[in-house]
Amino acid sequence: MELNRILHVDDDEDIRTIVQVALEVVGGFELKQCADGPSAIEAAREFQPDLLLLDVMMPNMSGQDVRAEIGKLEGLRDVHTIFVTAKAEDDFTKQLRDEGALSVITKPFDPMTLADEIRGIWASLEQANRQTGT
Amino acid sequence: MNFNRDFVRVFAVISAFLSIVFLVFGTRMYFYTAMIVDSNQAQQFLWTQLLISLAVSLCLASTLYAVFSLAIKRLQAQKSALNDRYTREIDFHQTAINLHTVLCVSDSGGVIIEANENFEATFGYSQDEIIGEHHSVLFGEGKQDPQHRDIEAALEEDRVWTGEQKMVSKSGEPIFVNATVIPQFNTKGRHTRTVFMLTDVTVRRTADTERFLSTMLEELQDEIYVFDVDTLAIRYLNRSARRRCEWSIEEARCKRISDTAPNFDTGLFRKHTQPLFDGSKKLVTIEAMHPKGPVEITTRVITGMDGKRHFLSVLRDLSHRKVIESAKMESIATVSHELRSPLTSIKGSLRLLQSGAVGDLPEKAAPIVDIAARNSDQLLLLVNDILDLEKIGSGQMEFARDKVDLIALIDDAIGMNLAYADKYKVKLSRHMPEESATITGDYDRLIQVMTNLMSNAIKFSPQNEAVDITLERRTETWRVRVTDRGAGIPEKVRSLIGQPFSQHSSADGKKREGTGLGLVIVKKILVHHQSRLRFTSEVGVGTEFYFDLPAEDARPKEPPKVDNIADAPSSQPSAEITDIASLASRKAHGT
Repeated sequence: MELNRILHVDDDEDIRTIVQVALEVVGGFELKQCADGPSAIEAAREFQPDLLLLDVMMPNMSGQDVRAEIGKLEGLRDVHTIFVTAKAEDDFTKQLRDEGALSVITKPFDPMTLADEIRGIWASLEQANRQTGT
Repeated sequence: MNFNRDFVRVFAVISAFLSIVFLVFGTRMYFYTAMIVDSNQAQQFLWTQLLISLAVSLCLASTLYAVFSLAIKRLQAQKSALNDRYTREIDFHQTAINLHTVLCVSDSGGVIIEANENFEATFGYSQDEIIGEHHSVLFGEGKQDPQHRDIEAALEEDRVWTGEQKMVSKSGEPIFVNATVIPQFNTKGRHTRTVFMLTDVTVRRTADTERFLSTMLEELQDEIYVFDVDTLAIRYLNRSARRRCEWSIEEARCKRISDTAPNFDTGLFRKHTQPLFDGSKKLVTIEAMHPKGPVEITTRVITGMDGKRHFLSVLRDLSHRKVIESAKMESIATVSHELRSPLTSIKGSLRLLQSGAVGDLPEKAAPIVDIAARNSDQLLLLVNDILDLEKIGSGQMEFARDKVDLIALIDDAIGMNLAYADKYKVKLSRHMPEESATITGDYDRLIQVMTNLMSNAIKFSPQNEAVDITLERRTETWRVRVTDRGAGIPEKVRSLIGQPFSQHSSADGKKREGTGLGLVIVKKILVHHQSRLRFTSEVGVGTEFYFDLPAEDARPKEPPKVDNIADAPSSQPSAEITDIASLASRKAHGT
């Protein structure tokens, strides 16, 4: 499956703008952006993203909460997730991966390579899937 | 003696009575019988009786006289002995008063007419000087002195005045005395003289002050250690110090300073205090780990009253300070963490501008954007370093204990720094051994160490020179050396190496980028690998930083325990990487 549709959730408007340029302009993805959990859950139903790109530290609903809620939606139970966090502790990264995250990207990231990074992660996922025959 | 006297009295009365009886009886017999009996024979007999009576009376009287005079003689002797003793005692008293009290006598008008030697010694006046003066000169405020007026008032009422008072010597020094002021009167009851009997208690006052000071010393929260310079035998510990050592006063007296902490390294102590003797420092300070917590020790040399030299160490418990520091560091870390989000936006925006993804920049704008980008990179490095430091300091950073191939690790680190070296036009030259080099440690953290050391070396290298990265086998360790051919570290700033934010101006005077935290982090990471950072430097030749890691094939079975507190952030980290840090870490790790 080719990666095309990405739903990005971040409460920081500036970061959203940068990610928008990084993924739409530089990366050529189809991108939908939301500022908080509830609007993201609403948007996800329609948008049916291939990948969630979630900020972890958000007011009211954390990235993990958003992931859990979206997972309850039809057709999105196994949607892949990449978290973006400024919290760079190794054990926290490990915890997120254990909870099923595809990867964790730490802030600050390089917007010029962000799309390539995500493509790389996606490619290694595809490769792993092929090896296990799914 | 009473018995004797009574006996003599009774004996005298009886004897006198008997002699009178005898005499009267004899005389009457002689005369009356002659009237009744006219015979020569009877006359003869009576004559004889009379003579016998006389003789007996005489005998009794003379015995009586002898006994009396004997008794009187003895009484007289006793009396004169008693007299002698009284006289002697009075003399003695006078001498004693003269010796021990300060004596001066004034006339009824208050003019001094007599003063003893003690007075001269205490007040500093000679007799000639003081006699004729009014006694008010002995008081601080003269005749207006409240105490003087008090005494005058007592004298007017013919009262004796006693109490402690402050007087002044000829030179104006205060003299504290216990005074008794006695007015004396003539037979008509008129006040003629005043005797001042004074006891100098200035010394006692001083002793009181000393006692006060020593009580204060005793109650001081900071710990005081006084010990002999040569033998290191303890002379005094105040209460807090004794509490730390759990000694009584008596126990402390038989101890040496080396008994105050396990693993006390006398050699290192001597080295540490050396500057006190060559005159280069008045006091030396060190931070160390005591089993009861981190401490700061300041030591100086004092010379006692007896001329002996002692070390005076003041020990301050840093546990509290460490708590505050770690709280401070934590808040810095929180702020730093918060800085990362806006930094992400700034860096991201600049990067997009630079890349042209959002359109080309005007020619003149590009370098300006570069400046902004470079500085935001710098800011991010700083934020990351602070976060790292806080993590290590608070014990949040976990150190893996993996088997690490040191050669591969160094090659990886070289790979990561090649771009940086190219930027500075510096070559990285590796010198690796033939055999494999395995150690136990944390790959990522050691990469951080190597990256920091290499980027430092690169920064300080002249263009087209090489930075040597050498790995060599020591007996039980692998030594990693990073050598540059830069300007070297000037002597005066060497002690600052490894202190936070202390990037020194190098010998060539150029300023380099960097956060000033790199070596602090390196030091702390190395402590967690039972190692420490050392360096040699020569101005104009270059600098070499090196550290030893225990080789896997020579490791002891049980690795020494690492104590986190020793690495807690500190506003005054150990000044010299090689010397003081070693004492602190030795104490902390018991190696």
